[in-house]
Parts: sequence; structure tokens; C-alpha cells
Amino acid sequence: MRRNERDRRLAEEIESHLAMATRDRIERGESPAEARQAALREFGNVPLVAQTTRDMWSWIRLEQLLQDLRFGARILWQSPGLSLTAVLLVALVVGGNTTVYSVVRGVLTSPARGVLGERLVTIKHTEPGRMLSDPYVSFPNYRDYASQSTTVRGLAGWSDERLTVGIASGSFAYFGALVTPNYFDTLGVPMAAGRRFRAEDDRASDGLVAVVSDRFWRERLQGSADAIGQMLTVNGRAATIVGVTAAGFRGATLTPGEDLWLPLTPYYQAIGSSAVLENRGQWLVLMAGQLAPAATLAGARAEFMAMANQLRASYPADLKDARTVVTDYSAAALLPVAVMAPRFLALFSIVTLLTLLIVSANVANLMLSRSVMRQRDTAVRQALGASRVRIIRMLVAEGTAISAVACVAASLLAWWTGRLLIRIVEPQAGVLGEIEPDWQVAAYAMVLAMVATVAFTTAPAVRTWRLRVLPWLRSGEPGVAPGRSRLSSVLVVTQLAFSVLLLTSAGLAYRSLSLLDSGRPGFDTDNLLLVTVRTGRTGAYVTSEPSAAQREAGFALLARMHERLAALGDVASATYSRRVPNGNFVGTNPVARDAEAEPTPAIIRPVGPDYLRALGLTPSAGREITMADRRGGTRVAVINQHLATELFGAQSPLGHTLLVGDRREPAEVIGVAPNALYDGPVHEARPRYLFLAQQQAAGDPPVDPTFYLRYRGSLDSATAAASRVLAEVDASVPIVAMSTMNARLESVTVLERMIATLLMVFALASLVVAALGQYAVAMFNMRRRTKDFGVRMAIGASAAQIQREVIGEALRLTWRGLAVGFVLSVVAGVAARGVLFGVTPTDPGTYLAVFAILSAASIAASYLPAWRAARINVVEALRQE
Amino acid sequence: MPRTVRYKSRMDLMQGTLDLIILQTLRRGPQHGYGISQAINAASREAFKAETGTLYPALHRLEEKGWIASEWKTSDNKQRANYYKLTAAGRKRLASEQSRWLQLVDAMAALMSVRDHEA
Repeated sequence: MRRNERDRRLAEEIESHLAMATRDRIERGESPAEARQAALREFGNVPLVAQTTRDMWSWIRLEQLLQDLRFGARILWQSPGLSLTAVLLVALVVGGNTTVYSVVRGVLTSPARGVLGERLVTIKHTEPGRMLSDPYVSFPNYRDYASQSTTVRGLAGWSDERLTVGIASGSFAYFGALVTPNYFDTLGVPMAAGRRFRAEDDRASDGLVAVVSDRFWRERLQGSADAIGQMLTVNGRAATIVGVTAAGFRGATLTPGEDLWLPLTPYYQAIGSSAVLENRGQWLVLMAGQLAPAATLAGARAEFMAMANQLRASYPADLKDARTVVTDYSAAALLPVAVMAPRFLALFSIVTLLTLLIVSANVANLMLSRSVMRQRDTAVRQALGASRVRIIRMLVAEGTAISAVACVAASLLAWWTGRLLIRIVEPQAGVLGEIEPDWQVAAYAMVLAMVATVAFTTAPAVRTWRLRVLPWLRSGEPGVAPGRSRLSSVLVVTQLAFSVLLLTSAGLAYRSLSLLDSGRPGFDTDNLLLVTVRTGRTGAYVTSEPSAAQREAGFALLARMHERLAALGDVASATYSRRVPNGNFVGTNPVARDAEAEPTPAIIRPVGPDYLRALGLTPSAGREITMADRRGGTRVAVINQHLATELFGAQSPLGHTLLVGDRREPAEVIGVAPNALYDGPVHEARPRYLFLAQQQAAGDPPVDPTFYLRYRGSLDSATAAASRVLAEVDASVPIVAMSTMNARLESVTVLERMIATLLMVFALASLVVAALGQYAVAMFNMRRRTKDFGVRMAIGASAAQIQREVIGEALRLTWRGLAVGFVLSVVAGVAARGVLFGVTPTDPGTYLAVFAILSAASIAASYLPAWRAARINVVEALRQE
Repeated sequence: MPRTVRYKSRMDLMQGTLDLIILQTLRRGPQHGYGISQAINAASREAFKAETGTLYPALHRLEEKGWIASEWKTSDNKQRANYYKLTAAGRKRLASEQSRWLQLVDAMAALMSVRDHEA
């Protein structure tokens, strides 16, 4: 409409032009027809003129934009190395940051697979002053919370449990959970077949019902279509399968991976321990619920805090210092890693910001070096009438072109590395599901990178326009605006300092974990098979105490199995232990030298005979626990070197009697064990261990003891022989798990290692970034001083001297960057002390490595410019303006 | 000036230059496209010939940028025509373009004199 109007006007304007030209010609004496013809001829191609004119209306802005972009692209193309570097830098940092942040966040905040409920929260129990505390609450408390809460709906409780499941083909050990009937509804777990639990299922008189996982259904029921209604036994009680969960669901938490669920109340009634359901001192269930529509997390926190306080007031004996914490639900929310999660996320946010800063500094340097080349160009443009706005726009276009290309590259990178990384770090395939790049983070990083790039591209121009144009047009003036090189040096130092910080943090994290990686826990982890069997009565700890006869039978069974296993031809040595490295909380108990002495906390481990031998260790003093240390004999103990030093200093601990545990039971020290990480990683630099003979330990025999078999020959024959022997001793005892020590240790630190790997990848990327940045600056300085070098070489400086000087200049910057960086690192390291295993925040190895790596990178980055500086053509350099 | 040079400059009328010339022409008062072309031809003693194919696009571009404005009026001899006039922004633009132009001329002159010395 408007365009039509303008078209009409333009036609009219051209017509009036022609009319006036014709009239002039007529006035000069031409005939009307000739005059009109001549005017038309003079005017030229009317439609073409109209078209070119029309193009000016609406397209002028777009056209200028295109021009600008073309210009930007051309500039980028002119110095492809520089542009590629800038693009690479931005892509690496944006893409890398997005990936790492998304993966870390994904691991720490995504729900377990198959949990589709929304607005889910977990409520966990904590104890003030303890960082890693037990998140369980007692069942009566759960009931109170569930019935009173107005902010959380459908509060579900569950208690993870080891279950021995009997079906027609045999009995198998599984992890499962005893759940409140609303468990599946609240979590929103879809069913592949059958139904979820209902309120009626809570009545024991109806008989036990069970829901099984898709995995169990396929493995044990052969995916049979009539699985619903089938009977099985769970810890000896009959139960009817009423549902199969959709594929992927293995419980609400990342570990241990559950396969069977039973209603909680009927189960405890069926095994005859209803008392536990009324015991406020018995921590039993984990809780999750759905935030009510109008409720907020803060509201829920306040409500649960109030309810917990009230409970504590009513039952002071059972709930000494219990508190509850309401957090958003995730598969990791109830695991130890959740305690670290906010720190990890904060750490990564900081790291993200740091790397963005580093890259901004780098891109700024690149742009500065380019602006030097461009100052004269800009001056000529200004002289030829380009407006300031237009010049700025061209520079913005240049910056935008770089960031646009970089952002596309970054998105691809993030998408691709995200997939790759998740495969690298995932503990077991499929546990984490798909983790998509967090596009919000990506957008945030991209906007930051874009702003930085454009700002740093434009800033030199703003500076230039204050300058008078004329000097730049004259020849022979220096090619650099004064003060520039100092800014770029500051940028390099900043960037190096942040690289140091990043590398040392990553290095520390990585080293602290690699110490515990397979092969380095301080004992020989190869050819070590772990076989966990369920000898104890499942759920024994919640039922009444086993009788003395049952206890003795349990210990005897353990000894018998050990003897048979140790006698196997494939087995060099065998032992057993109550626990294996498993990444759970490692508790300590007091150990005292005598009745008066202040007790020292130590990790107490009841173990079988030949424990050290099976681990490939020999006692550094005395002897180790053997079969001779029987039940009823003198209680003996082996302590590790750390504990020996702590308690006895340089004195020999042998023959001393220690008071062990809260009950202060005496045990005589018969040997000293080397320091090793017997439980895998512990959050302690110097873990103190005390080993007791399992056969002499007070209390019940272990429920799930694990045999450590040092085997010869192949793993296959060892596992086959072990299975056969165990079945021969007692066919009713199921094997819970079999794995090698290496596999076991690997699974222990899976989350932490994953994060350390990510950090390392990150740090290496940042090293590349730092090296590129240094290269850019060295190149920039070289270019700036080409003429200077030319003069000096003309008056006799050798190429080697020039080269040394350029490298020396780069190294001076490096030292400064390293110095600042190390100070930052020590501060950061000390602040993060609690997260490190086995290394000090000032671990010299890490610092030396970082120092060496960065110095090498710095020398490498400055070598090429130096090489070029030393080989400049003196005549041309002198002629350079 | 030799004729060849004059012919050459007719060929190479730069965009920025035409803008400057149009703005300068309109300083004397509102004028229509035909009038502007005549004025340029006359004022440059035919050194520049404003082609309609560049003049009209330039006029519309300058109007789009807000440096000139147009209005339909009837001329003395009853001919309706689109009259262009300078806006305030156009006046400022003209002033800055002029000083820049003089700087360039200055610089060019300096460069030329250097060349003369060397030669």
C-alpha cells in the first residue's frame, strides 16, 4: 500500500523531470516531438532508473547491513589465521563450557530414569556439624510428616533393602526397596505391565504384592506375557507380581539400582518386625514428595523445620538433634555426592566465568593486534567521508561475524562433545539417560562472548576516532597507538594467571583421584576377585537379635567357605571382609591406647585370615591375622602405619593392648600394616585403620561378607571354581556380586572421577586457549616492533639476539602470570581442601607440573614469532611505516 | 586542466562525492531533481554530469537517511514537481563532509608535493 503510493510518486517525479526537460528544449527551439525524444534519451533507461531508486527506500538499511557483513567477512578472510584463532577460542570456550556445565549439572540435578513426576522434592534428615550424614528418617516420623504436611503432597517413603528373590529357576540376590503405596504415583513411574501399588496393598491380610523392574522381568521371567500374577518369594515370603515398571526405572536414586519393590508395612509385618514401624529411633526411610501447587521450596522448608522441631520436642530421647532439609529431587539428591553438588556447580560456574574471561582477554588481544594493522585503513575511510557510526558499525560487523561463526561452531561442539563426554564418564551405560546441552548456559556464554568480542573489536576504533586523522595519512608515523602494548600485556598476565588457577585446580582434583584409581590404592589390585555372598539372614538387623546358636553357625559357615576357597588350586590366597570399597560413608570409631588416653578416631575393619597377604601386602612389623586367631582366643588387632604413628610415635606398638570402639573392647596389637587405601577413596589424607579378626568380632556375623580371592590363571576359571565351591558348601546361599577389585574400585569413585575428568578436559582446553593467546600477543609485539628489529639488525644485532629477546619478553610475561596464578591457586586450593583426597592443596607435584606445562606452552607460543622476528628482511623492515 | 583529466573525472563520480555535491547544491534552496541535475552540470562547468541513474537513487538515499526532505509543489510555470530541501541533519552532515573533504584535499596536496620532491 505505502509502496504503491511511493511507486506512483516516483513515476510522477520522473514524468515531471521529463516534462521540465522537454519544456526547456522546446524553449530552446526544438520541436515538441524531438524535444520529448531527446529528453527521454538524456534521461536514460526509465524503468532501470526507477528500479535503482526504489532500491534505496526499504533496502537501504538491509543493504548496509549486508555490506557491513560482507566487509566483516572480507576482513576475516584477509587474515585467516587470526580469524580462525579467534573463532576457535570462542567456540572452544562457549562449546566446552556448555558441555561440561551441562553434563555436571545433568549428573547432579537430573531425576533418575523413569521418574517423570514434576515438582518433586526430597526431604532428608541431617545432623548439624556432620557434612555427610545419614539422610534416613524413622517410619513414625515419616507418617507424621506425610499426614501433616500441606506443602508437600503424596509424600512417599522407601527403604532400600537387599532381597533374596526365589523363583522357579533358583534364588537370586537383588537390591530392592520397601515402599509406601504411593511411591510409584508420586514419582510418576510408568508401568510397562500391570499396575502400581494401591492403598489396599498396605493391608497384610491380602498377602504380599510386588512390582518388578523391566530388567528383572527380562532376566528372570524371560519377558513372559503372563508375568502379572506370578508368584515369587522375597526373603522367604511369598509375593504376587502385580506390575512391571517401564524400561529404565531402577529406583529413585542413582545407586544401587533396584529391581523389586514391595509395600513397606506388609513386608515388615510379614517378617515379624512390625516394631520397627513404631520405633522413632530407627532410621528407616528416604522421602520424596510433590510440592503442592501453591507451595514453594522455601515454604516447604519452613514447614518441615517446624514439624521436625515439634517432633523433637515430643520425643527428645529418640530424636536428639534431628533436622530435616527439603531440596529439589534428583537422582543424586540423597547420595553423598549431593552434599558436594552445590560446591561442584559453584566451582564450575566460577570456572566457566574464568575461562570466558580468559577468552575475552585473548580475543581482545587478537583484535588489538588487528586494529594496529587497521589504523591507517580506518583513517583513510574517515577522510573519505565514512561516518563514525558507519566505521563503528563495520567494526561491530567484524566482531559479530567472528562471534557468529564461533557460535555456530560452539553449538556443534557442545552438541557433539556432550554426547562424547557422557559416554566417557557415564558409570554404567544408560544410567544417566540423554543429557542435552544446556542451551540456557550456551546462550548465556554466547551472549557474553559476543559482547566481549564486539566490545574489544570496537574499543580500538573509539580510541582512534579521538585522534586526528592527518597523522595516519602521512607516511613514516609509528603504526601503533601509544599505550596499547601495556594493555595487551596485562591481558596476557591475567589470562595466564587464570590458566594456572584452572590447571592447578584440575591437576589437584585429578591427582587426588588418580591416587585412588585402580592400580594405585597402595595394594596389588590385579588378579583379585571379589565374591560377595549373602550368608546372614536378610533384614536381620531389624528383627530380633539372632540366637547365640545362630550366630555361631553363621561364623562357622564363613570359616568353612573360606577354607574351601583358599584350598582351590586357582587361588593363591583368600580372605574375607565385612565390607568392600563401595563409595559409601566410611565411619570411624574411637581407639585409645589406654583407659586414660584421649581416643583417636580410626576406621575399624573386621577381616578374615590372611587379609594382607591376599592384598599382596606384608606387615611392616609383627604378623597379620591368621586362622589361628579363632573365636574365643585373645582378641588381636593389626593397625596401619598412620594409626601406629598417631598412637605410639616412633615406639613399637606390638604387644600393646588397645581399647577399641565405644564399648572399649581390648585388642592386642600383633602387627603393623602398610598405609593403603583399603576402602578406596576416603575424604582424609591419612586414613587410620585398625583390623580385627572377623571371627573374634562381637555381634552378628556379616550379612553380606565378601571373599577376596587372589587367583592364578584366568578370571573365568577362578569365578567358575568359586561359584562351584560356594554352592557345594551351601546351595541356599546366593552370590550377590562378583567383580574384580579393579572394577570395584573404579565404580567407587565414578562420580568424582567423572567430574575430575571433565575438569581435566576443561583445563587442557584452557591451556590451548592460553597458548593461543600468548601466541597472539607475541605476534602482535613482533609486528609492532618489526621496524625496531630492522634497525637493530642493521646496526649489527644478530638474529639469535633478536630471537632471544622476543622469547625473553614472552617469558617475562609468563613469570608474572604464573606468579599471580599460583597465589590464586593456593588460595583456591586451601578453600577447597575438604574436597581433595590424599593430596594437600599445595601439592608440589601438581604445581611443578603446571609450572612446567605452562612454561613450555609459553615458550612454544612465542617461538614462532621469535623465529619470524629473527628472519625479517632488514631492508623491508626499515622501509616499513 | 587537460581535457582527458576532465573526461576521467566525469566517469569516476564517487558516491560520497555526489552526496556532498547534492547537499551543497541544496544549500541554495529547495530544488527538484531536474533542477539539481542542471545545477550540477552548470556549476561544475560540465566536469561532472549528474546521470539520472545515479542522481535519483542518491536523492532517495539521502532522504532515507534524513539529510534531505521532499515536498510536492507547483513551479512558476505550473509544473508540479517534487522539491528537495536540506534538513537540519543534512546541514550538519554537509558541514562535516566539507571539512573532511578539505582535509582530504590538504592531505592529497601534501602527498602530491612529496611525490614532486622525490621525482
